[in-house]
Amino acid sequence: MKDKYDCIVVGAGPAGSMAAWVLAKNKHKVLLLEKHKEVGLPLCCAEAVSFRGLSICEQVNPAWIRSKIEKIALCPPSGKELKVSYSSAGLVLDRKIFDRDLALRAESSGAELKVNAQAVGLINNNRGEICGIRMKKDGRESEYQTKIVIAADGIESMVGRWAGIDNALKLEGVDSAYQYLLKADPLDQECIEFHLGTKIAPGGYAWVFPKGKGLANVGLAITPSLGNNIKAKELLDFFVMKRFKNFSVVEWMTGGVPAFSRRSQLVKGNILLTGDAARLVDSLSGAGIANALLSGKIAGQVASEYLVNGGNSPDFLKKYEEEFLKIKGRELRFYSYCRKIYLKMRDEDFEEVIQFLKEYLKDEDSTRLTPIQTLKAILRSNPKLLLLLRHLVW
Amino acid sequence: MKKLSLKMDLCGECGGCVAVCAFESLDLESQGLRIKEELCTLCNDCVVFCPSGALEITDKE
Ligand SMILES: Cc1cc2nc3c(=O)[nH]c(=O)nc-3n(C[C@H](O)[C@H](O)[C@H](O)COP(=O)(O)OP(=O)(O)OC[C@H]3O[C@@H](n4cnc5c(N)ncnc54)[C@H](O)[C@@H]3O)c2cc1C
Ligand code: SF4
Ligand code: SF4
Repeated sequence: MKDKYDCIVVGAGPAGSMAAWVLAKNKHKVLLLEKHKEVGLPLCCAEAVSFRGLSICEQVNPAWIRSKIEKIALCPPSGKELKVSYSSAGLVLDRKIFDRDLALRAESSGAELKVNAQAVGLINNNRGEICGIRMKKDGRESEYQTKIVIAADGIESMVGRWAGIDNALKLEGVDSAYQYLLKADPLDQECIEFHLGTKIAPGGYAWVFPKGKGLANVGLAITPSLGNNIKAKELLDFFVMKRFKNFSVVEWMTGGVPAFSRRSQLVKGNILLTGDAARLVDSLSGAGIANALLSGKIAGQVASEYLVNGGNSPDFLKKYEEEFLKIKGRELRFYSYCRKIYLKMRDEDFEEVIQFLKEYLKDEDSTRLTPIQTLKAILRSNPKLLLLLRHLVW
Repeated sequence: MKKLSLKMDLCGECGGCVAVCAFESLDLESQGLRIKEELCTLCNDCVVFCPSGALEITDKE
């Protein structure tokens, strides 16, 4: 086997780069593998994040930010929209810059970054423990030794499966999405829009997230088990025609969003799963950037502690799962429960909930409400009618 | 005989099909999606998932 590492991180998305950064800062020997020839491509994301979510990075570079969200519009099938001013709602990022910057930050702190380098399997020692990784680069396979593997390999994660974790997604536990980067008008550059309805996007929603300069991420996600064989792309094309007078397509992308489930396993032996690889996505909004950052950070910290106190058994690494779920477990479980209700909602339910919110938000200062408070208020108003303010959930 | 086929020009390499396949018969490599035909049970889940209709089950020539 070739070089020896303290930790190999598979995948240079937000989760992987965060983990590699923390380990490198603590002077551990880290290898960060990215199978694509460039970090940040191809990108499958609508790029919205809350201020709090972004602050997990610690040092925020203004170049990551494309626009600030000041207003949120919720549009039910009737078109009777609800528009709220919400100055602290969040930001729309430029993830190509963001992802690349985070990877480079890990590298300048001492991590070794290899692009065009795909992990293709794990290596076991004679006691059955994982002791290395097989990697393919430029058509050639090589082997690297490591004490810990951090799986940050996104929705298509194989690392967990190689280690025997069954995390294949069911068709009702994943969103199937299509998105355009559009130059479009009319567009309110400060307002993000969510369009709801069983015909618009069965089990999902359509969104318009402005990115400045007349551009916007315009996408649509459905729950494939409810789609009756209609594709997200067809529904999005229909939506775009209806929503915009003029538009031109700058880019297109397909996407899959895993929904968190109680079964999600974060640690097995010396393998830690983070971000989308661990299915740490809010099941309702589909937001995963903040959870990817946080899980990567905690995984890096716990791995680092483990490496310093070399005498620890791999059981010590379970601390990562405990610490992450202590902070995020309740929230993730709550959203996963909300998703189940959301998938059952009919068009009249969306209308009723938006009507309720119009009244409710009149009396409350919306900027002070947390997503969970709002969701609970909806549930209390009528437990049958749950519409989650998906936008508040990042 | 049937097989799973990919229309490459429609594929955005999102990896969602890989995640829904319970048989590990799909792999998203740096050059694109690879179908391991010998593992595929033609269960159709990836076809239903694919957001752009890039996957379909067709007759083998
Ligand atoms: C259409 C869409 C819209 C979204 N919108 C939002 C949003 O607005 N806000 C939000 O918070 N979240 C959003 N998300 C979710 C968000 O994009 C993800 O949760 C986030 O990117 C997860 O980060 P990650 O680091 O876990 O994985 P990723 O960002 O997917 O990174 C994984 C990396 O691992 C690499 N990799 C995979 N396998 C290997 C291997 N074997 N070897 C080497 N490298 C490998 C991949 O190439 C990739 O670079 C959206 C998702 C989709 C699909
Ligand atoms: S789901 Fe469709 S678009 Fe995504 S990788 Fe698979 S074939 Fe390509
Ligand atoms: S048809 Fe089923 S078994 Fe074959 S690749 Fe698709 S999901 Fe996997």
